[in-house]
Amino acid sequence: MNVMEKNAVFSRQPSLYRCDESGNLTIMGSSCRSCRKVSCPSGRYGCPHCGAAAEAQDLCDLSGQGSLKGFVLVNVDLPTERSAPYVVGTIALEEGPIIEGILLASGDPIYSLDQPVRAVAVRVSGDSEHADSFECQFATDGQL
Amino acid sequence: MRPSTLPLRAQRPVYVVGIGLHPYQFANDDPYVALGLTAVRQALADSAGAMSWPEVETAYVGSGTIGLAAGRFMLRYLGSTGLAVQQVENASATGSSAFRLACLDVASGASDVALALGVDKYGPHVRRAVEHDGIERFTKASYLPVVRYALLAEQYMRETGATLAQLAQVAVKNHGNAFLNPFAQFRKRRTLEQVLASPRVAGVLTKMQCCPRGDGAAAVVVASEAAIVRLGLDRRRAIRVVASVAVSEMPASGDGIAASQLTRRMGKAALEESGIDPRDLDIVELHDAFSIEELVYIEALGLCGDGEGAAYIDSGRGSIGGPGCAVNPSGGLIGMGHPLGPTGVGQIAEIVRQLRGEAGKRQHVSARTGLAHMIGLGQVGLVHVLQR
Repeated sequence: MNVMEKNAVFSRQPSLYRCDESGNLTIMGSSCRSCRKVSCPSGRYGCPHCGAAAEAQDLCDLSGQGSLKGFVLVNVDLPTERSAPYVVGTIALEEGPIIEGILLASGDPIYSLDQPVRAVAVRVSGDSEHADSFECQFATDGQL
Repeated sequence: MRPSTLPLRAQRPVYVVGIGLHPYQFANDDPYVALGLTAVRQALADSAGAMSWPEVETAYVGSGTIGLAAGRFMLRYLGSTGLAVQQVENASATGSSAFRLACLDVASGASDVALALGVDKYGPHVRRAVEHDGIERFTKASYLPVVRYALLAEQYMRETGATLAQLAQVAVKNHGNAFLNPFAQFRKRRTLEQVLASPRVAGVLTKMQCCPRGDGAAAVVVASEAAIVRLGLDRRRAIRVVASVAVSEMPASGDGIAASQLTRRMGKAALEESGIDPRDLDIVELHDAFSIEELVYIEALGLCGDGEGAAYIDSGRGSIGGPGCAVNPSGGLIGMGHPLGPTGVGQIAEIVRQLRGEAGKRQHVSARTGLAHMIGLGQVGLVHVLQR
């Protein structure tokens, strides 16, 4: 996988993120009109914080910026995920949601707690269905 | 958490009067019916007295992987008595949930005798509902337990200073206990060096610190005082269930660990319900799908102070015959196995065996009070307290 350059427009998870033709990625979430909290993934069925209905959730774009709260190297192939090895990180997005994401493996990454990370679009090779598909991973400043 | 409107102890006393197990094993072609019937027949025989299948009025069949209607197609080979049969699924807490329902059934007076049976078979057919909830996630690893608990292990070690060796010591103890358990899936002692040298699965968790999946069955018969008298059961072997608590996860407060807070909440509720101090616990069977969980949960249950879990296990206080509470004397999920439906029921069987003084080489001296703890994907949690 390579960090995307241009013209890859098929998001593997279109409800979570989109990418323009310049390779700029935008994460999507939702903001609850009742409790004001932001959710990511968006509150499709309602607010997971206060239980407000889906109709009270406003879709919103997130910055994709956050900080690393934990990370582990996965060494074996697990059901439903990609081939190992890969690194999973817990990321606190600056708008509030805490998510798990794949950390970018390119370069010689050195991770540390509270390190700033940001979402990047990564071209997915070997995807016959969408030759130009991409996915969201998280990279440190030193990797970009 | 809102307290139970009618806690178990405020209702009719409930006793475990019979236990039975089919050994946990790696998946093979043995039909689930054979596994389940082995456990039930053993539990009926263990009840002794005049206990027989027609006395069982209700059966809760804990099964997460076999499919629809597992109960009736199995139990008819014990005789079609017309009893109520209900299948229960609650992820890893499936068996614990079946046991809770059986207890509540007897406590409420709906039945005098009820069966809790856990039976499951592992294979590629096993699916998680979260894979079909219509929600996309950045990585599916976000709901894979081994990844979540590997992240927890990193956090715990960072915050408490626990070492890799202390983490691995949980697996050394539990494999050692399983070696003594004829119903365990793993029957080999493991050294600290072996546990540490086994392949890393995720983060610091090595293969020997992770539970196996497999097949198995476990059954317990619960009964009221009236049934014990009517059927002439041995009262000395009847073990009372003094608390049953079921909860689900709430958002973690602060930087806290959600699974720890869940355990702290339900453990406190169960001990308050039973009027027991955590220092009075002799046996704890807990959800150690991964070694780190045992350290986190013994702290949350109050066996030791916060950050002292690693030292508690490392010093032998959690061992059979040790000065403290024996933790997972069955071998736990790591050593005895985690066939899902049977797991929570098997915990109850081990505690009953220990409180009766019938655990043989695994016997923890003078065991009088035991606690069973289980976490299910989601997360959900159950705690039961039993007392001789």
